[in-house]
Amino acid sequence: MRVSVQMLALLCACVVGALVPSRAHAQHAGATDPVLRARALRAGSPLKMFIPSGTVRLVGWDRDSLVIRGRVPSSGKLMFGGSDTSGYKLVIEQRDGGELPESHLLIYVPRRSQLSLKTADAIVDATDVSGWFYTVSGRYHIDGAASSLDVEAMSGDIDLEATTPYARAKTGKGHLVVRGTPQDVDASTIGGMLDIAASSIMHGRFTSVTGDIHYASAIAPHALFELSTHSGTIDLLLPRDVSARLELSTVDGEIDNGFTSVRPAAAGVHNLRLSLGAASADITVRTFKGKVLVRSR
Amino acid sequence: MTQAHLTEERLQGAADGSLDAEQMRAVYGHLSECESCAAEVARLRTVMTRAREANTGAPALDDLWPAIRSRIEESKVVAPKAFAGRASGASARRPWLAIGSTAVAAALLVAAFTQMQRWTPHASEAVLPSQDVAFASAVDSTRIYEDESRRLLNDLEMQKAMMGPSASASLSGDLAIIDRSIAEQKGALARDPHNIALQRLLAAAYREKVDLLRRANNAG
Amino acid sequence: MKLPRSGVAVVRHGDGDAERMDALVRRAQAGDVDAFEGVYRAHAPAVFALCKRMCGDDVEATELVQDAFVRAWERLPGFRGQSTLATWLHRLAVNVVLERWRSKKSDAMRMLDDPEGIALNAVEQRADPDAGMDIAAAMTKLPMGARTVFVLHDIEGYAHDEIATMTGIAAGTSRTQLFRARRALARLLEP
Repeated sequence: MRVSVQMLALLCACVVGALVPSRAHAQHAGATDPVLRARALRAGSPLKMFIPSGTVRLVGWDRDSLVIRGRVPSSGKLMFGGSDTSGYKLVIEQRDGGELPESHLLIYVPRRSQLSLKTADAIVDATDVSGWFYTVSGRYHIDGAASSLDVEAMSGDIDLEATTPYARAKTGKGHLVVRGTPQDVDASTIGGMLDIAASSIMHGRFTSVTGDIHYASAIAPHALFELSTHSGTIDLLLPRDVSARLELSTVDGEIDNGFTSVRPAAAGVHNLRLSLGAASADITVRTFKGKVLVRSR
Repeated sequence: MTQAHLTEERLQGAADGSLDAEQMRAVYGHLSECESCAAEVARLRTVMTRAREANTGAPALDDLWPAIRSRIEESKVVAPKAFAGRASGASARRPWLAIGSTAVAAALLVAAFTQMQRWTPHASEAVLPSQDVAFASAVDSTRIYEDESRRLLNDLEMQKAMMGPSASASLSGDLAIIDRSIAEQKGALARDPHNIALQRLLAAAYREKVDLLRRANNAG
Repeated sequence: MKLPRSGVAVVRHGDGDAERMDALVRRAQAGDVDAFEGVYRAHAPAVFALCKRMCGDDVEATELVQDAFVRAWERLPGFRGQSTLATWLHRLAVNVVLERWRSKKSDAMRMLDDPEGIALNAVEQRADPDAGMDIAAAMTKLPMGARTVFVLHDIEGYAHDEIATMTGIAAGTSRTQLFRARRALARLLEP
């Protein structure tokens, strides 16, 4: 089992790597950029930020301080307020109603801070941070360890690669990728593609309206998964020796079962129940008219 | 697979997510290979999940308010200046008109969240006494999300003016997609009213709509 | 499932809802009881759930809800938004429950400091081994001390040090009580 899982993980990494939007053009601020603000901040204090556009590199560190480096263009103004006991608020404000100011910031925060970051179309790359992250059409990539992650986009891309007990991610037509080692995941898109490649998930709810959902990973023993879509395709690529009970149903779609050597526990035109291996995990799949594909590798 | 089983501390930490990142990686590594420990963690997690989902069956809490208000009024020594003239009479009720929708909305939010927390798939189905209960629960969820989406749509009218054109277009496009799916599912439910999978899909579609409208409220 | 502290999660508003609630709080802080009624209606169900889970009794829980909101009214001018209102109200309600128990010198406070889990062992021995029960019923079977730690940690999301500060027991005792409470519940839930 070990070999096949590792091969599958490698394959998933390649697939996801190809799917993740290119970040080559991101102009992140670096450690040589000027310090714009530096303040004492107690771990656990809240930090609220509005950074409309540009790039943001967020790093959780093991110090009780907040340091902001980077560049804010003349069309924008950095507003900063608060105290270490109540937390801080950081806002990049637009001067004279022109274009959204494209700032490039490198922000260090205490690792246990509860962040609230809102952007319009900024590209955010974050490590070891927790909290609520919102964008209209920007991108988020979050890795490292987090106590919880709640990431929302109207149409932007989200790439979660963190180790966290709880992650929630929602987007409209953006591309949503769940990898890393999350434990409980609630992820959904409307028309966007949803890719999952994380074998650590114990509870997972994955939904879309028209977007395709791809799951390509091993399944943790005793995991509980629910995947549903209206008209997207749900594609499960599972290890050959997976241990799971699958309950697949569709109102008006097709079910394509790749585990042909296993006799189904129940089978109809629009539903299929399969017990694979010791049937330790539970996977429920529902579609209205989307296709359900179950494949083994 | 000769590793010893996880300690009680590690099992409980894996169940509640309190381990640090390094410990978590090590524990997940063990859990992916050890059925016995994974089952223990799952058992503990079931306790925690079900405890959070347990319905405490609130009584008529609105009925408590008059007694609370009366205790508050008794405790007042000096009427606060800002609202001293509005302690009673018709004018004192006016703010409630504005508060009403907020309170009802908040109650709905609480109810909707409670429903969202009730999702535990399959396992929860196993503990339900009958399919009827599961179906009723799905109908209930649908109704709550439907009410909530109606309220959020009303609120959105104000927000739309502050939204950028691309956000507004994205919202309209996504709403149209969801509304089409809801219409198709409702049509199918009319033909097959007791289809529990359909009812759950409809609840999920409304839930997506509520999530989208909440996200849109932040897009101004 | 590890969730954010329940009060925060339950009353997870968008900015618009949060602003309306902030306005209600500001008016209530200025003495407007009608505005406070809005706060009460929004938060009473969650506060009731907390009290009910801690004391296990409907009637006592409704009394505690009243005490908690009267206390909240008195303390509201001091609320400066360092935490969310839901978190603040939950913390206040927990204190109201604990104070009531202290004033009654109830068994709950004694049982909170029960590192050997004697009370829990007794519960497990009394439970009918053939009958699995639902979680709400199982929780009422826990000794009040263990139930308190379980509710505060697993449902309300407090850390062991916070529980230690609130209840006066050691953080290690809180951890032990919690582990044992979960194990006892798991056994009580088994069919």
